[in-house]
Amino acid sequence: MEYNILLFLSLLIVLSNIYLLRTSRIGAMIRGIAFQGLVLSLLPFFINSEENSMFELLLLAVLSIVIKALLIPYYLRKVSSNVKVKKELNPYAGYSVSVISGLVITYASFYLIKKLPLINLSISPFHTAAAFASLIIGMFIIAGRRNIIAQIIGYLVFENAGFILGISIASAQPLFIETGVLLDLLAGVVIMVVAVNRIHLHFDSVNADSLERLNK
Amino acid sequence: MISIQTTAVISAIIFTAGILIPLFMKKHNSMIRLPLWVSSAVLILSFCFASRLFHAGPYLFFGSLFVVDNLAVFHVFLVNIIFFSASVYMQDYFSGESSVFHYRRFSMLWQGFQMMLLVVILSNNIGLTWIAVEATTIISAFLIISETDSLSLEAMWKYLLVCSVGIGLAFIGTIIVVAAGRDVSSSEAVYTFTSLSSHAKELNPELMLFAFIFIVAGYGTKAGLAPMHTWLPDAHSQSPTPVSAVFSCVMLNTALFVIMRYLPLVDTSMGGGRAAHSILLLLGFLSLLFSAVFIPVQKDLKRLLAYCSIEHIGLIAIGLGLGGGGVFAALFHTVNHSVSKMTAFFSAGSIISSYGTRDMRKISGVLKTMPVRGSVFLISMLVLIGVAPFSVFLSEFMIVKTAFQQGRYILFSLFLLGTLAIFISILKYVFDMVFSPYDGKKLNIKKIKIPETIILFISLSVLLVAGLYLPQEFQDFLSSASSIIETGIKL
Repeated sequence: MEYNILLFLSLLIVLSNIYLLRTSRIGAMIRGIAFQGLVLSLLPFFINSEENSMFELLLLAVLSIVIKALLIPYYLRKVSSNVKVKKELNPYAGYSVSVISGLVITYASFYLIKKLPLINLSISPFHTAAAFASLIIGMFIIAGRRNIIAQIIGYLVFENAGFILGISIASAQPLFIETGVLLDLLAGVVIMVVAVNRIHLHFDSVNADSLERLNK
Repeated sequence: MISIQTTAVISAIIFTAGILIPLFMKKHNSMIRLPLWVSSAVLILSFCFASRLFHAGPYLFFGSLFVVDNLAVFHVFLVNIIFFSASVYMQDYFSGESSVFHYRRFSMLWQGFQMMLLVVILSNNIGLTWIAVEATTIISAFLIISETDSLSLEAMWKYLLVCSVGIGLAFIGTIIVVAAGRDVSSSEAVYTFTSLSSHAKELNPELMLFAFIFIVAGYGTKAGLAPMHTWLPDAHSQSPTPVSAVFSCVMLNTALFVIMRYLPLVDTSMGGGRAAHSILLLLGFLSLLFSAVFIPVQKDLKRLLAYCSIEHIGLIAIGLGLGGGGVFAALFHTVNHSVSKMTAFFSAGSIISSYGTRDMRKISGVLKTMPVRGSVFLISMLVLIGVAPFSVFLSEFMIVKTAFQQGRYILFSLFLLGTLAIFISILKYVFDMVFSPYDGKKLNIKKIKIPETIILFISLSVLLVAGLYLPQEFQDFLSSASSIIETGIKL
């Protein structure tokens, strides 16, 4: 039973990654990342429940849902309606290429994870593999997209990988550390959103192309 | 005598007050003066931390959340002295062109940045260290941008994205370290540097090495080690000069400091293997190589200084990677680089604002138009490229001597080649700017004020004296700090 739930949850993470890779609409990407945030927030209930008290788990889950599934998507939606970009038309890496790479990355990390010394420690090997897949897919989105809001979403996928890995292999950290990590993430996204607004104001575009004058 | 915890609380209150007070200020002068008071107060308070250390040895405070040892105190003083000097310099640098809102934001972020750097250095909890490093990125991003320049926005975006991703990798590394400590038979949890260090032999060696790769890639991004340095030249060149100075002289070192904390843990868990050191050596040499290739093609004075920072951070990493005498030399080089780079940034910043351009080809006759800053600029650049008898020469010599003694002749010759190439190209740039005839362009020179002159001259004399004679006390202090990098924290 437990085994099936864990498999199901890691499947949801993998699927949301693929969804983020294939969609061109920014609004849909924001929904995807909110969904992933929600799934992640529920993970601690199924893995690693001995070391934390139920109260701590609940508190963290609520905080995590508020930040990852509500606040961050809210800010992203606000900025994307502000800059009036609905769709990304020509990313650096095309959508079909992205999806195929995403599948290859996911398969490779599920295969290779057996070779890493981490596997003996994992409470849930699926999630350790899903974490490494998300790590690389996140970087892939950052590098493959022209739209900087899409790049922020790639960064969030990347950050989520750390979160998944944390609950699947590390023992429980004190509450204030977990809270600090979440607040850092929120502050980081807020600063990025402010930066996107500024960039839009100055360059009248949110494409990474317009940000390449310093390259020398 | 007041206790350490009280001192820490007082420092935190001073910072919080310093961050909040600008909200109620109306004049930009007072907003810029505030950091000066705050940084002097914190500098004085840091002597309390140091005196307890010298009397009673390393200690923890606030439970096991923070730790103070020689290595930490060394970096605390580095941060506080550089921030103090930059705050002095800042008084004349900003002339009130921007809006009050801009100054308010600058003043608040500046002080928050200093506080977070100190938290990174004193933190004993590896999670808190990570949080604080990430917070320094978030806080300092808006220090880079000025109101008028859209290029600075681009630099900021790059800084924010590259460093956030880098620090995300460090997060993965931190988690794997916690996982590596799961089998430790100990009642206390192992996520503090002190407990990891006392159980270092029981940590899983494979995982520790795996974690170290992520940690070096992560914190190394923030430290500006090549090939993760891409954000650095942009951020350093676009930000206001006081910010470039603290980025280059303090923030890079703070990130490297975190790597220094992890280095002995990996070493000990692997039973004295050198794998972690080889990683640092490789990145150090890549940094030297990148800067040796890019310095000869620079046109922008601040970019030149930025690449020069990459070079010196690379040299420090090489010193750490060599181990033994190299570690001592690396720490010594850290001070030398910070002090000389600060002087160089301050004088270059004044030159840039007088000439109204960062383009080195349009700057000429500096020695004639600005005799004091021009000569300070000349000397500090000579110090930076390692001219004897200044202390940068001495520390570079110590690093290269260690490489030779260890029989690493290829490294030895690469080191010499790289520094030589940088030496020649920087010398050419500087001579062209300083000694060339003045082309009679109209300049906007602000008269140099006494506090700035004092700071510049003290730094140069420190560099000269340290090159000729190192007091025994300072040597002892540095060698005990470097033994912490070799063997870990011993309480």
